[in-house]
Amino acid sequence: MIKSPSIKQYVAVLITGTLFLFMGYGSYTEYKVRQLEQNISNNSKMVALEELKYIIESAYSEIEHHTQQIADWEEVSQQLSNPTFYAYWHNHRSMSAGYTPDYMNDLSIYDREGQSLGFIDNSLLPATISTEKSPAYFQMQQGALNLIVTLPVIESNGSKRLLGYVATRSDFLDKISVENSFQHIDSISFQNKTRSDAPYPLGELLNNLEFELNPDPNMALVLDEMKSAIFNLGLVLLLVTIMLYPMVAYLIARPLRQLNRHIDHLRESPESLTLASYGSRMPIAELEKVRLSLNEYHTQLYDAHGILDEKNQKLETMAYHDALTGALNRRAFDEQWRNIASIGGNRSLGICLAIFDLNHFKPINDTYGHEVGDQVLKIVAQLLTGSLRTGESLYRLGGDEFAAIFFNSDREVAETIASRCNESIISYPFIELGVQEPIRISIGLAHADGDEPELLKVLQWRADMAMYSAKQPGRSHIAFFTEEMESNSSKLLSNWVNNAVYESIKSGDGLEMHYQPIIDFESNNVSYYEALIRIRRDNEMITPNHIFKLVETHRLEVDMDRAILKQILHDLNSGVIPEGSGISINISGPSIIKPEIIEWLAPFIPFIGRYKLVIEVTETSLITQIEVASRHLNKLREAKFLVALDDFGSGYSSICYLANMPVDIVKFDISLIRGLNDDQQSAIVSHLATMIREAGYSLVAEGIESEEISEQVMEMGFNYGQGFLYGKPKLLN
Amino acid sequence: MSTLLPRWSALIIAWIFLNPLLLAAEVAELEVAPGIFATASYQQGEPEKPAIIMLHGWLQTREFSTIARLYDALSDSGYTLLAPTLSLGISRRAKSLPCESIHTNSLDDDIYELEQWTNWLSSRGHKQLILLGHSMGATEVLAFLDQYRGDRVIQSILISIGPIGPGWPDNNANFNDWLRAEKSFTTGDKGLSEYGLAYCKKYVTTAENLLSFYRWDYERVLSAFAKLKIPTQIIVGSEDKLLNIKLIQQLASEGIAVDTLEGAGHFFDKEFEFELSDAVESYLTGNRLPAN
Repeated sequence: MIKSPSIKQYVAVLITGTLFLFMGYGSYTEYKVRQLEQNISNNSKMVALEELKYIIESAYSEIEHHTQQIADWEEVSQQLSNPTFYAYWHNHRSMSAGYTPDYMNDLSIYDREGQSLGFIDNSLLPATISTEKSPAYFQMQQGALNLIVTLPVIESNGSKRLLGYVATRSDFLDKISVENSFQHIDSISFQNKTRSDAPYPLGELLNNLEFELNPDPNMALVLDEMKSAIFNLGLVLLLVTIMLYPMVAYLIARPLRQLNRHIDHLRESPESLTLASYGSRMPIAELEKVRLSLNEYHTQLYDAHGILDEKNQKLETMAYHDALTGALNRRAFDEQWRNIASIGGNRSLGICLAIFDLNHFKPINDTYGHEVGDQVLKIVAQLLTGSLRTGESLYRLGGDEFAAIFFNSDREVAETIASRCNESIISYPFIELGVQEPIRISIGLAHADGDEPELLKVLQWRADMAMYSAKQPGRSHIAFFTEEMESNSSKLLSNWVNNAVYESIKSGDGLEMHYQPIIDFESNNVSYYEALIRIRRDNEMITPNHIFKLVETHRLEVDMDRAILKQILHDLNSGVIPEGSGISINISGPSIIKPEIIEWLAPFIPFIGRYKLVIEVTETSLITQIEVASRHLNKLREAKFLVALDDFGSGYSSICYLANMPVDIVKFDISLIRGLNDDQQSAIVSHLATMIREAGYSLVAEGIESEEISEQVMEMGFNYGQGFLYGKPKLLN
Repeated sequence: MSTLLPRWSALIIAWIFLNPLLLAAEVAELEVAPGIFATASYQQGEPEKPAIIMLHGWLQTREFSTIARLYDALSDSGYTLLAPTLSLGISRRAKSLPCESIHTNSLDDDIYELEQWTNWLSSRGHKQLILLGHSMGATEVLAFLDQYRGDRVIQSILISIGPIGPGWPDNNANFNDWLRAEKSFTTGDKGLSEYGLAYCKKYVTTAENLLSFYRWDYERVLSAFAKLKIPTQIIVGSEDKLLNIKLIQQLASEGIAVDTLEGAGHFFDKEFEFELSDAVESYLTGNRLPAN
C-alpha cells in the first residue's frame, strides 16, 4: 500500500516548488532585464551618437565663432597691417586678450598668401596654409586631438577685402568633454582611435572617436531598482519560506501530527480514551475546531461506549438471564453445558444435573393469575438459588422448569442439595401470596462420573426423565435417574419429538386428527366425535401428553389450535366425518380469548346443520379471562356452535363459576368418573350431575372403560358417554 | 507705461526722420598711414558756425560716453561736429584698445591724425575750428596746439586735462619706467615692453613711443598752456580722482580758465553730463564766464 505523503512533505514540496518557480521566474526576469538593458544600451548608443554629433557640431560652431571673433579682432587687423611685433603679440597678447577660450591652445595669423606673419617656434599651427581652401580639420598633436579652424580676415569697412587668415588650434576633446555635460556619453572616455598625426576632416571625427556610454542614471536607477526589487523579492520570499516552514510546521504539521498520533493511539488502544493527552489549544481555528470536534466526538464516543457497555451488560444479562426470576436462562444453560461437555472428562467426582419443575403450576397460574404465578416463580427461583452451593447457578429452562449443575458432585452430594432445595420450597409460606394450594417441586437428578464424558450428552435427557419420574403421583419429589426410567420414558420429550411437534404446527406434516366417539345414551349411537390430536413421525406416534407438554411449555397453544382447526376443516371437507354426526373441537385458553377465534371458526359455520359442532374449553381457560372468553363463546353459540366445559372437576375452580360460564355441555373429568368406584365420590358425582343437568346442561362422562361405569353414569343422568368402552380415538376413513 | 511707449516711439521716429542735422550725419574716413584708415563721426552744421573737433580720451573711441553725449548734446546746436577715433595703428578701429595690446602709435602719430582731421575739415570748407578734448584727448589737443601754427583753430575746450609723463608733484609712479624707456631709447632698443602710462599698468609699446607721451609731463603742460594764443577753457570735476588737483590749481593760478563742476568726476557721468554739455555750450557761445 502506497503511503500518502505527510503535510510536512507537502509543505517541503510546496516551498521547494515555490523557490524553483521563483528562481525560474527570477532568471527569466533577469534575462528580460538584461535584454532591456541591451536594448536601452543600443538606444542609448544611437542617442549618444546623435548627442555627440550635436555636441561636435555645437563645439565646432563655437570654435568657429571664436575663431571668427578673432578674425574680426582689431588687433589681428593691426598685426596684418603691421606685423612688426607679431611674435610678441602672438606670445604675449593673442591668448590673453580674452578672445581665446581655455580649450583653444593656439592661434596664428597669415597674410593673404597664407604665410604666417611670423615664425613662432612653439606653435603647432602650420607656417603656411592653403589659401584656396581652408577647411577645418583634426590632427593628433602631442597626444591631443586638435581642431584647426582657419578663417579669412576681412576688412571691416564692408569692402570684403581679404586681409589675411587666422587659424586657431583647439583641444577638441577637452572642449567637448569639459564644457559639455553629456547625458549619454562618459565624457572622460573619449579617445582617438588612431595615433597617427595625419590630419583628417571634420566629418570623419565620429569614425575616429572612441567613447564609452554613460550609464543612463534613470535607467540605471530603474534597472538597479528592478534588480534590487528582484533580489529583495527573492530575499523576502526566502525569508518568508524560511519563516513559513516552521510556521506551517508549528501551526499545521505539528497539530496534525499531534492529532494523528492521538488517532493512532486510539486505534492501538481504543479503550484508553485519554482526552487530556491532546487537550492543548490548537493555533489554527479550523484545527482547533477539529480538535474540539474530535474531543467532543471522543467524549460522545466515550459516553456511547459506556452506554453500549451498559447496554451490552444489560443485553448480556438479558441474553443470559431470565427477566422474571433473575436466574440464568436457557441460553446460558446451553452454553454452560457445551463448555461442560468439552471439559467434562477432567472432573474427578463427576457432574450432576438437577432439573426442577413446579407441580401444577399451570393451574395455579390460571387460578391466581399471572402476577401471582410470576411471584411464585420468582420466590421459587430465589429459594432454589439460596439452596445451591456457592458458585453454582440456577437456570430457568422455561415455564416452571429450572435446572442446576452440581460440579464435583457425587450422587450423595447431589441428593443433599436437592433435598435442601425441596425443603426450602416446602417450608416457604406461599399462603402469603394468597395461594391456598401447596407449592411443590419435582426434582430430577442425573449423574455422570468424571470418567464418563459420553454420558454428558444424555445427562439432560436423563435428568428430565428423572424429573418426570419424580412428578409421578405417589413418588418422591426427588428422583435420581435409573436405567428403568430410560426404558419407560425413552420417547418422552426427545429432540425428535420436539422437532415433529414444531414441524406439524408449522406445516401440518404428521399432524393427524383422531376422532373418539361420544355416545348418546338415549340412542346408544355416536352422537359426535371428539377430535384429538396425534402427531406421527417416522411411524412413531407422539401422544397428546408429550405434545401438550411441549405446546404449553413453548406457548404454542394458538398455533396448535389453528393447525388443528385446519386439519379438522380438511377432514370435514373431505367427508371423512359421517354426516349427521358432529365434531367436538378442543380450543385452548389462549385461543378462546383471541378476537380472531370467531374468524378462525367461521369456515365451520356452513357445516352447522349437517354436523353438530362443539367447542370444548377447559374451566381453567375460562376462569382466567372469563369475560372475554364468554363474549367470544356467546358469539359462537349464536352461530349455533355448542360449547362444552371440558375436564370439569379436575381443577380448583368452584362450581359456582359454572353458572357464569356460557356452556351447553359439561364434561366430567375422567378422574371423577374413574372414582365412581368409591361410593362417596360416586355420590358426589351423582348429585353434582343431577344438579348440573337440572340446571339445563347436557352431561358427558369421560373415561368410561367398562359397562359397569357406563350403566352407572347413565343412571346418574349423564347424556353422553366417552371412553375406550365406546371406542378409542382413531382416524376416520 | 505701456500706453506711453508707443507715443514715445512715434516721437523718436518722427524726430529721427525730420531732423536735418541727423540726416546730414556721416562717418568720415581718413587714411592716416598707409593702409591705416581712421574714422570719425561727422555732422555738417551751419556754415557760419565753427566746426568742433571732439577728441576722445586715452585708448577710447568717439563712442565713449563723455564725447558721445557731448556730440549728441551739440548735434542740434548748429555747429559742425567731427568726432574722430584715433586709429592707434589699427585701421578703422572701432573698439577701445586694451592697455595690454601692442601699441604702435606715438603721441605724435595721434597729433598727426588730429592734424589730418583739421585739414580734412578745412578741405570741406570749414574755416574756423574749435578743438575739444577729454582727458588724454585734451592733452593731445594741447600738444597739437603747442605745435600748431595755423589760424583756423579759434578756441579750445580741455576737459579733465592732466599731464601724462611722470614728474608731477606726488606722481612718480612711472618714474622707473621713464628711466627704463629713456635707456632703451638711447640704446636704440625698438622692442616692445610693458610700461605704466596714464591708468595703464602694463602699456605695451616701444620706448620711443612711450617717451612721446611721457614728455608731456607737468612742466611741458604748463609750458604749452603758457604758449596758447587762443581762448582755452579747462573744465574739471571737483571729484575727479584721476587728476592732480595741484596741477589744476597751478593752471588756475597761471591764469588759465578753469571751470570746476562741483561733484563731477573724471567722466562727468550721470547728471553731470548735462552740466558739462551746458558748460561747453555756454563756452562755445561765450555766454559763460570763466570761473576764475
